[in-house]
Amino acid sequence: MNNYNLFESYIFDKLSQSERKTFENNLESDDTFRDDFENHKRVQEAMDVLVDDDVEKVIHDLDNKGHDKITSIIAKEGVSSIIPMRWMGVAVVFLFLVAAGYLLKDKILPSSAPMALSARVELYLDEGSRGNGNTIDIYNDYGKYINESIESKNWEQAANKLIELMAVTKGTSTYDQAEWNLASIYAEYDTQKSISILERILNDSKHDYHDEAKVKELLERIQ
Amino acid sequence: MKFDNKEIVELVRKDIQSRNQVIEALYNDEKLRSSIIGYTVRNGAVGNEGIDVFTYAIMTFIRQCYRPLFELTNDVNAYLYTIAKYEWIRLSKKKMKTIPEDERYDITDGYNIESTIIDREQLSELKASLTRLDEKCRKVLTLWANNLKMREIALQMVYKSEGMARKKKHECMKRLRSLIQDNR
Repeated sequence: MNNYNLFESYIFDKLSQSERKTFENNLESDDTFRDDFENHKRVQEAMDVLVDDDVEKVIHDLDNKGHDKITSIIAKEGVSSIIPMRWMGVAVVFLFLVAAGYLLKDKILPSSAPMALSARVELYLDEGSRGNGNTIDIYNDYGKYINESIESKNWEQAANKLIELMAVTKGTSTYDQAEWNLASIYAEYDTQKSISILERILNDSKHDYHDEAKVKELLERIQ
Repeated sequence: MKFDNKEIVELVRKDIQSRNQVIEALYNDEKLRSSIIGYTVRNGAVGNEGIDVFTYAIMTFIRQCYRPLFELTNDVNAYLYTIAKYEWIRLSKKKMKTIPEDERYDITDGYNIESTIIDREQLSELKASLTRLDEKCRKVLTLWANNLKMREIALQMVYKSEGMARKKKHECMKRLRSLIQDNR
């Protein structure tokens, strides 16, 4: 069970007595676990706030159709009440220092090593879902495996899994993304294959990555 | 309109249109409305307080439907009534109003109502974090929170593809997490 499912199972009281006990022991003894759980709750609550705003609009529309006027149950608090003006001044000075630091960083710090070729891989896994859970699709299953292969630098295994993913997602945007990822993985160990994919992407105006600067940049780097 | 327990949750999850139909049916259910408002008025509600609690109960139910593990084990009206009673008791405590004992403690009905409540202070923090998200991110996350598929999000946001929607949602979620972390 991943943490998302575990946290939701705890909140919705779906754990067995012993699982619940273990969970609560972890909450008490493990700071990282407790922080992760608190963050999970906050993010879910933020999603709830977004849903509430949406539902409230629907109800207001119903009111406008002839029902009683409702007033919002949730206090509308502006940012101005949360961030006093004096803190705005501090924020401006801070932003100035950050900007100056950013501009001068190359002069102060030694230049960093170039980014690993495979670091360009883009896999946006959903750690959880909404509704009935169907949104966690085939993409997530493959994605997890590919990420693990990349972490262990098993490029060939990652490439093979991407080819499998492309076979089952042909004609969708997942295919385009998988193809770009495959080029990034090939760049690590088979530049010819990588070049051929990158050239194909650049020549295909309908490809999702056709206009992406990083495609050209990767091609120039490995050529 | 009468709904089957499972059917109503599935209707909310199905798409925005059918969700809105559920909201409309619940909001226009006179029996449900008068039972909830009646309860609050009997226990000291004035002005719009009763209708606010009624609205709150509907909002809570809808947002719970979007949580994958939520199950409606009872009649939807009974669930909404339970939420409304819990909320009214909570508000009354805050305002130091007294509610007779027999009106109070039959309210749990096996639901973990506590988990549906967002602490007011935390709510302000969350709203502040959400305000700091840019409009597009807020929109993408709202669509996702409302259970829209990546394909539908791409269509509504005029993104080139489903992959782009997934990428944007991922980036916005990352940004939201960091804003929440900063506010804690």
